[in-house]
Amino acid sequence: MTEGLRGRIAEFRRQYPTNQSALLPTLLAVQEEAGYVSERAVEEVAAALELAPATVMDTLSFYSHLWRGPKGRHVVMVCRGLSCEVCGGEDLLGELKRKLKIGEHETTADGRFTLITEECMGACEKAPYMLVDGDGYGPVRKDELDGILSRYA
Amino acid sequence: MMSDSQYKPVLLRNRGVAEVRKLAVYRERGGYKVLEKALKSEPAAIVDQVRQSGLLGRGGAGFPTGLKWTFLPQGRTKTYLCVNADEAEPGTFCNRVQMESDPHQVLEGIIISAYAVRAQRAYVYIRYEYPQQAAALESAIGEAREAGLLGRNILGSGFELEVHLFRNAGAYICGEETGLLESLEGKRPWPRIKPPYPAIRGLAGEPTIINNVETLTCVLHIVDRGADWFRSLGTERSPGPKLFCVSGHVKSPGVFERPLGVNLKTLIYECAGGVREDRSIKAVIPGGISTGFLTADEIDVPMAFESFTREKNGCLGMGTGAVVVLDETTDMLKVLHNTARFFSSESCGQCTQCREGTGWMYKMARRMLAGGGRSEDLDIIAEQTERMGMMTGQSICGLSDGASYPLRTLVTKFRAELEERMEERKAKGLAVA
Repeated sequence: MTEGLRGRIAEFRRQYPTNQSALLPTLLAVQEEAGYVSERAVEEVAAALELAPATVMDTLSFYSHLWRGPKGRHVVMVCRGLSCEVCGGEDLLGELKRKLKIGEHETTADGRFTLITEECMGACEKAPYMLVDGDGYGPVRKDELDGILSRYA
Repeated sequence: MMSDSQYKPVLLRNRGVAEVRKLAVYRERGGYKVLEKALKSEPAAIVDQVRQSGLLGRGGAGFPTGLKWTFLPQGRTKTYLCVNADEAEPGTFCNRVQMESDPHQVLEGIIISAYAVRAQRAYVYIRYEYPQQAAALESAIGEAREAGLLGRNILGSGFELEVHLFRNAGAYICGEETGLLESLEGKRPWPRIKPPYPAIRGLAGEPTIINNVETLTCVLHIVDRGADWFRSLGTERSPGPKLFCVSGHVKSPGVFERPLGVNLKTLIYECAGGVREDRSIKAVIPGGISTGFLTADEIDVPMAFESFTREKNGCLGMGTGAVVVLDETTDMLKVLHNTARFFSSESCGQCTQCREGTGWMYKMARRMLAGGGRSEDLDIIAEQTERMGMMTGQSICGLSDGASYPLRTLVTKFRAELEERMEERKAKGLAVA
């Protein structure tokens, strides 16, 4: 565990009412640094927050954006909410699968992209919508995809 | 009542103003003046004003905000305010627009409300899919702290408040207020059995108030302009302004601020510019997917909490006021499939009938889509929704009700089309799943 991360954990513990309250922010911080939460990180986080590793696992396994294994350098998250689905969301997802040659929850062979879908992402006026890392795009036309993807090396 | 087009936005008054995300610009436009005013009055007076305004929570349930605040025990030493920015009800995106376009207004509403309920800590619980909005709010919090609008002795009043941003890691159920608390405590977000309500025993066992972002922005304007002004807008039972999201098959989707009671047709045909390619409407969701589906014959209705009931139109309520329009070309079997998938993947798994019920219904929807649907499947879905979500007190939280209303309204109101779509798929010889 890096010094920077230890500092952030200490800060979380000051901000939240119980040590376990700092768990989600800590897991997200671990993921920001390492890309995912490894088994070793589970042990380290448990020790840092004085929790049982099983407690950490219980929380970790519930949330859809906490990763327990490696993912690509960039995550493409496509909305599958109803507004997006009826405005071309399925076509967009299909085109992404073809272009990246992967299915949902898979990573390209070069480790560049992981493709996932998510329930309504709260950007229905931009349907069909997707997020690449932290950047929102929508409405996305299929012919814009190459341009968008080329921004992520 | 004034006509709808004359209405001047209040909650969205700064939308589109250049650089209003910066504190200096927000202040030039009168920002934080209402906080100054609030800090000069007694917290109890503000609670009273909010109660008199008749403000109903904007997050979906429509519970009276002032009443919720009065549940806090007297003589408490600690109080938390949790701001629910985990906007995840399908079709809903108004909190997102508020946070990205005018984060200081959101924050001012939070500080005033924290003062009113005497909270020393506020947590803004924001969904994972809003990273840009989280950054905007984080920056506003930083600026406010520098300027003495947060921290100790705010504007010389002696009031102390810290606001922290807490990011969800992805789960719809975290929007349920006790699921949110469990999540904030670092646990899986399984909703709690109530009572005790959070105002009595909330975060870390302490008295806690949980309100939606838009609700707290309404509080700001109630303190500014008074309860009578608030009641002058909207209907008798649903007072005040509301942010309505309109999406789906409309020409100009977006967020529109109107007084409650605005006609649903006005939102669709005037605000959102009507249906794309001027097609006719097949179905409309009035307030987020959980509220259910209206037919084209049912959309001449005022958008108010009292307009949507099981008796009146089969709907659960007005929900978040998030309208989704589906035109005549929509395949309702795919809509049923999308709806069933959503609830099955977001059921937290705690209550058996919700976990199993949403799962079965999704399984049936998949089979129907694959060409293996049977007419009696629709009867089973109708029966299942009745058992799972329409008998009150069956589940710990409202998710199973939220799953039941849309699926039930789909199979009861659109049955003929669903049968037809199943036959089509059977005839195409699609593989039976």
